[in-house]
Amino acid sequence: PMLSRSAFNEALPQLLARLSGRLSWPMRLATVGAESDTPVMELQTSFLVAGPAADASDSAPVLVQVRLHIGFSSAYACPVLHFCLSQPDGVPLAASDAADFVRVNVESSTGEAAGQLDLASVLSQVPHPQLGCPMYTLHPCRTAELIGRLTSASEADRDGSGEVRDTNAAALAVLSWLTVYGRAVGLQVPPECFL
Amino acid sequence: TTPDSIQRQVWDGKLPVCFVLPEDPDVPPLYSLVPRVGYFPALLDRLRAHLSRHAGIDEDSPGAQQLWLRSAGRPLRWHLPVGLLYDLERPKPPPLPWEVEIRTRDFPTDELVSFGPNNSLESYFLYCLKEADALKHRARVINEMGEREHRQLWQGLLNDQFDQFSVVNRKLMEGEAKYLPFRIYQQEADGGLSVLQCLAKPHREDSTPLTLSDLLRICLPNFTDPVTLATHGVSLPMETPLAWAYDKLAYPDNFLHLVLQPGRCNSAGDGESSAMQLDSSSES
Repeated sequence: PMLSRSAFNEALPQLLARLSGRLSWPMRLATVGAESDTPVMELQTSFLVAGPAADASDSAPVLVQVRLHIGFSSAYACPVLHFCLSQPDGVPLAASDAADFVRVNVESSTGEAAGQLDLASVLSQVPHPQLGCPMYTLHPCRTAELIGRLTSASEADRDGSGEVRDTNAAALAVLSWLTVYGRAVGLQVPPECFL
Repeated sequence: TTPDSIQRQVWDGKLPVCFVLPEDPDVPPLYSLVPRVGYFPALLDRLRAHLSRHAGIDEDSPGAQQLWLRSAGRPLRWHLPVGLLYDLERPKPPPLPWEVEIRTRDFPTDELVSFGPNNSLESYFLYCLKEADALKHRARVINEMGEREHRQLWQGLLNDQFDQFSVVNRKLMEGEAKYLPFRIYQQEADGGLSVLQCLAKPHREDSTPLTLSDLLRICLPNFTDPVTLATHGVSLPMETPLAWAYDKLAYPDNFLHLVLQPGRCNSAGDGESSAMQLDSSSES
């Protein structure tokens, strides 16, 4: 079953409640535009994570400030991440450091050997579709498949319409997706969020 | 379907641009005939070579590496095609050759996408193609193409090779589309840019073709002022079917980029002619 923008919007308050119950980061829902007569909404949050070490002899952990927007792509009918990466003082990470940050996070969570991942084909800096400012995004091309499987698994399509109509199921599907994709920016979704 | 004369005219459209370096008026301008359907960052190597030769700015220096472009006092949003940027200039498109400023300091990191070795223009172009195909075909066609065909699309555009590009692009443009990829742009007086995108099927509920005025009603439900939609510098009659406009006038990134302008368009029966006659009855 397909996730729609309105189902995503309806699931956002529950998503916010589940995450903010376990994570003490600043988090809010924001309306960033409109698509026809449907508001375009996002869950926006900000957190510090350990970045890739500059070199092996560094004893001080490198921290990266992640500004994360969880939104919805109508083209792919699935959630999408847009994010900014900066040093704790707000200076944006250089492009090569940003790529390293995502690469290390992906490799440590998937176990893929260094150099085998073609990051350029999945990570791009693009203008945010509504806000216009440059942000990184992970290409959603394979996400739609994943969401389809996640929503089937949760019986979200009880009325057989082909669309997810159950808000609880939609929220859990987005949370499952975030558990996978959030790892690229160092986000670990606590399992208690699913309870 | 083979590409026709309108698609070829769209591809061949070029703008004369004059690149200047205000911070050093002794540096001669660089003149270039830039494809309307191309992108400014594709010229970065040429611009750096020019600065190296005439301004003593080494190509590897921070200034050359963090080069950006400005027009009428505003950063050029260079992720957008050149022709679209020109058509968006306010209050009206500037006289030709279009004077564009080269800047080597204070890259506006909160406004401009940075293209370079870690974020290539090619991968951004592919990102756009993927989204367009997701709208049309649930990304089936682009995902079935291998990396070789993706590269061919980019190389065809970069090297102004219409045939090389078209032979692959044909696969993306043919067949029934679920939704048509388009964006409507409006340049605000304060320099901001509003971008509208929504889901639009090729046909209405009653199976007749969806027109541009239907599209405006979908995207801007409460809008009542008279407006015109234009692309490639040409105003389109509001009764134009969206599918026809998309097929003939989509950019190489597979999006129909439309500029919203205040005022009513002169429709075909008015006796006024526009720069390019778009006659749907003449096409096969």
